[in-house]
Amino acid sequence: MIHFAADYFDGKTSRAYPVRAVFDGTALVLSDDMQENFYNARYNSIDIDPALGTTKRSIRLPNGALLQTDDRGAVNAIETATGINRSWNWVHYLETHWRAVVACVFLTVAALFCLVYYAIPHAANYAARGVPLHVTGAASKQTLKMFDQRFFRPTALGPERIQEIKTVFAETVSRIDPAHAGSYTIVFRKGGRIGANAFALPSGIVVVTDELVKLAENDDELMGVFAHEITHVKKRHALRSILQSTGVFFLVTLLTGDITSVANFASFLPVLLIENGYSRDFEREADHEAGTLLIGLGKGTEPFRNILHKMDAKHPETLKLGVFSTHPETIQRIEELKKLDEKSHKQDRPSHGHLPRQDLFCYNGCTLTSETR
Amino acid sequence: MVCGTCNVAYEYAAPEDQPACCPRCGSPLTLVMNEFSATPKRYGFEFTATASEYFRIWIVNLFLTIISLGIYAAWAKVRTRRYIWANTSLAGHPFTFHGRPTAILKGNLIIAAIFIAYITLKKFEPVVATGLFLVFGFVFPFLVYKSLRFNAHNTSYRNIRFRFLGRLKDSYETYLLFAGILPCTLFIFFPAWQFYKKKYFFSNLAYGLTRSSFSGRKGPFYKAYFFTSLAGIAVFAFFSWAGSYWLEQISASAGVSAGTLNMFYTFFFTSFLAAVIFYTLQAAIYSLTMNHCWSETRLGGLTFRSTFTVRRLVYIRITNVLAVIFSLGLLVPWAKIRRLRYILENLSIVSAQALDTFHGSPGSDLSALGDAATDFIGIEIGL
Repeated sequence: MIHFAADYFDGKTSRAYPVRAVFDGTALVLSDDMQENFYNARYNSIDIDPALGTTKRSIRLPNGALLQTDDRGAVNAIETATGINRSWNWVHYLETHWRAVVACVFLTVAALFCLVYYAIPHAANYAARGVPLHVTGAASKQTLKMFDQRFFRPTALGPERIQEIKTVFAETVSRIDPAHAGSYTIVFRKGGRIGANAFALPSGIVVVTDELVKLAENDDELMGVFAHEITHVKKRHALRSILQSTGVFFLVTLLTGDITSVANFASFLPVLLIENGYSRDFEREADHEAGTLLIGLGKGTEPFRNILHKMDAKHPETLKLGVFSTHPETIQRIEELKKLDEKSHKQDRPSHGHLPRQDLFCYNGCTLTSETR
Repeated sequence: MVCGTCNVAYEYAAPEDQPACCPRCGSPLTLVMNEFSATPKRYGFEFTATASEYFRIWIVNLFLTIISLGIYAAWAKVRTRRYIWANTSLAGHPFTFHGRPTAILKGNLIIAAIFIAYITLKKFEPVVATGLFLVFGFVFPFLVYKSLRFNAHNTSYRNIRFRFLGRLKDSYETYLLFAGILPCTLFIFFPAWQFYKKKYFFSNLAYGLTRSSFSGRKGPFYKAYFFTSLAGIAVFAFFSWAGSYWLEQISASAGVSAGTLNMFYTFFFTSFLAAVIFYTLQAAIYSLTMNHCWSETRLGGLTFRSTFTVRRLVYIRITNVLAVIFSLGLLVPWAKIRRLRYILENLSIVSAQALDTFHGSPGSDLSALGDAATDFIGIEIGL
């Protein structure tokens, strides 16, 4: 026999009737001062709202009435006796034990790290692999059109020079992504405000500015640049970055979903950091491919390092934004390329195409360096 | 007056010589005693949630949501709502949330599908994506309507459910037509639009059979937006001036040419400053407009009093953001409870009608789609 006092609300008026409730093992019997047993319900016809903190317990009766009580122990006893809410008790258990809560804090942080560093990039990579390049054609054309209107002017390079560069480009394509050589095109523009730079559109269009061509002392330097950009396309970096930011967006929505806008506002910074981190990782991957190609041709990474250095030197006031930047700092990129050289000397044979995962911050990167941002 | 057969309450007095009859079934009405007492009584909302308890619920929810890849979010939301509702009480009795997780899950899945479709299309087929966006614009008022219904119908006090009786047509007028003509009025209409949104909510609520009435005006909204914008511009001007002074000092000492550096910092600093000010002033606008809305809302013999102050709400918002940032998010539950406590402790009702004389109505259909939708895109409706 479980006895407890409760408030009975009949659902017809807002009046609270104080009642005495008795649970005898099979039925809940309600009595008040006027009448013994004015209502009773079998245990399998009642619903009990699962326990939640130290709030009142609510029992829903089949006649639409509601019973609310502060006697949580009594309701717990009914639950134990009848098996009602058995599947919910463990959530309440977690919530009421500090050890479980601390474990949840750590496990949540661990799960977030796994998602951001491992699950989201890998899932995006897996999903992007099968997508044909031409799917992004419309969007890529629009991007180029926007750049043409805002920044670019038609190229001033002579037709012979263009032909020479096209040959270098075709050779680079045939070495980086021979299976889809037909998907890649190179486009020449006068950079204007953008200056010496190159960028790849996800459909396979690589845009090179006249300023960059003039900055290059030899075609090996250009080959390094092209290899970097072609890798962005080949490895579907643009698409992966879209998928990854979608993933991050959903993650943040999940985290802040039932929280006030405070968290939404504050989450802007972590999102920026994560996405720029993804971007830098893509840049490293592209640098790595470019360096590996040049090493494979017996030229070492020097030509690519040179042009990166010259581009950096042209813009001395470029900000060193560190974790806020979409690209790793040029000095750091050059250092990593040098390491690649040293490694190839030691091994004698370059390991092609396989990238040891760096410190796992990555994203899309269209431009060669971050100067235009 | 109450009809015993239909269980419906009416608020009119019959002529002296005739017995009062129920307009629906014709049976005589009985006068419920003590329905309106002579002296109105004031009841404050009591908020008994604690940050410690809510933190534990929050972190368990978060953990289960992440490892279930979002499926649990629906259950988490029900648990959170139930906790907040159950810890909000009036005259000794708590509110109760009745929403079903499966209904919210269904809504979550539909909204997630729409967003994935939109984000993917935007990158590959921008024209189709714009079309989808327009379609969403047409669906949105429906979602708002559903959301308001869902929230109201799933909230009860003393086992009497709230209801939202707004018409779908009015939702389309407010959220599609008015929102659509907003740019044509150069956003001068904006405060009025905010007013219509609040009006749609406050004038269509019902507690059981008792309907709300709303006599709010556009004036206070214009006033609130005008003075808040003025204050915002002043603060912005001051900080931009201070910022540019500080920047000059820096670039002078570092010896770098201004140019790009200057431009970049100016851009970053300006947009960040604008965002912070905008976000802070939302709290000011909230307190000013909500004070007006609550004081102009009646529910039968019941009126509301709210005593939010701009200074306090702005202070709470700023300190909450700082606390959340510096605790790396761990103080989110504390911040939420703190804000809700302030709001509920400054909200009270004044009732000439005894609180146990309200009448309930038979329930109706409920769906969570709208509920999930509005939460997803972060609309703040009501409290």
